[in-house]
Amino acid sequence: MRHEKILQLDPIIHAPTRLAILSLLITVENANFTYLKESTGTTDGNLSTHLTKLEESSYITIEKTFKGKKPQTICAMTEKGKKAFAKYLEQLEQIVQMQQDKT
Amino acid sequence: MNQDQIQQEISIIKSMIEKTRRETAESGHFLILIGIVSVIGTFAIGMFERFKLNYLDLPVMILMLVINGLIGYFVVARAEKKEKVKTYTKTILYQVWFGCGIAAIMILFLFPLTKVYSFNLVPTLVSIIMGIIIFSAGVIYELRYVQWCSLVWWGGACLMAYIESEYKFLIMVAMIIFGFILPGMIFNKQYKNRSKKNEA
Repeated sequence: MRHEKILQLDPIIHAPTRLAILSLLITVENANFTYLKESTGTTDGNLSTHLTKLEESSYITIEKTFKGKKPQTICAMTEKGKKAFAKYLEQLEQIVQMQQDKT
Repeated sequence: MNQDQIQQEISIIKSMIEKTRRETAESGHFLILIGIVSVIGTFAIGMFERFKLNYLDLPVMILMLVINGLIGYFVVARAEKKEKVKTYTKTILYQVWFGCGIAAIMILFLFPLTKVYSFNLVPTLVSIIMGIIIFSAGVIYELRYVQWCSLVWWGGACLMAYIESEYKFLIMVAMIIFGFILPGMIFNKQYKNRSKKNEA
């Protein structure tokens, strides 16, 4: 039973940086690349890789725009991403519950 | 997945949510600035009435509205320029303020000028709208003290509806101080606290 739950955890979300990105994006309409970088404490390259992975899974959208003359990358969570994140939290809660029941 | 891993994941989620909360605090500058302009304008209108210079009331009201509109525009534009993250909270707050601003303009100018009601009723009606603005800001940002400040507006609205005095404008001045500038300062205190935590 416990193993089933672990296997169900979404591998896309189950990585610290991606979990941090989605935890930030779930609370906002959108956030720019700089904010995500500062908040998650990752490098440009690392963050780009994780964002691309999330975009490929359709969990987030990435939009390249201009603010004045400055280019900027805006990330926002999709409905699919919100549902997946909610499900992930639910599963996490279930695991905690199961471990508490065990002890 | 062991207990430590779960705790680590939960702490990541918590810390990210908390970071965003801190980043998106309202500075309160808008409320403080329009509060100061409104205090000066209301005091001036009160003095004009006291010295029978009523013809200056409308120009001062229009000037006050224009200045406050410009403050709103520049504060929001500046905030958006610096903004790294866009939140639902701010969007809702600005839209509520904008909507109430339109309602206030109609109450201030449209209906009294088209003789739907007398100018005497304007302070009461505007105060009701201001109460809604402050109350919604307090609810949206979960600041109970700011919510309480809306009582100043609604209480003042009742008071002004029944009191007839040439010093009525002083009630309005007090209401602006406790109903605009004070909530602005509460917002600003929270903003500074959160900025400090974010820097740390």
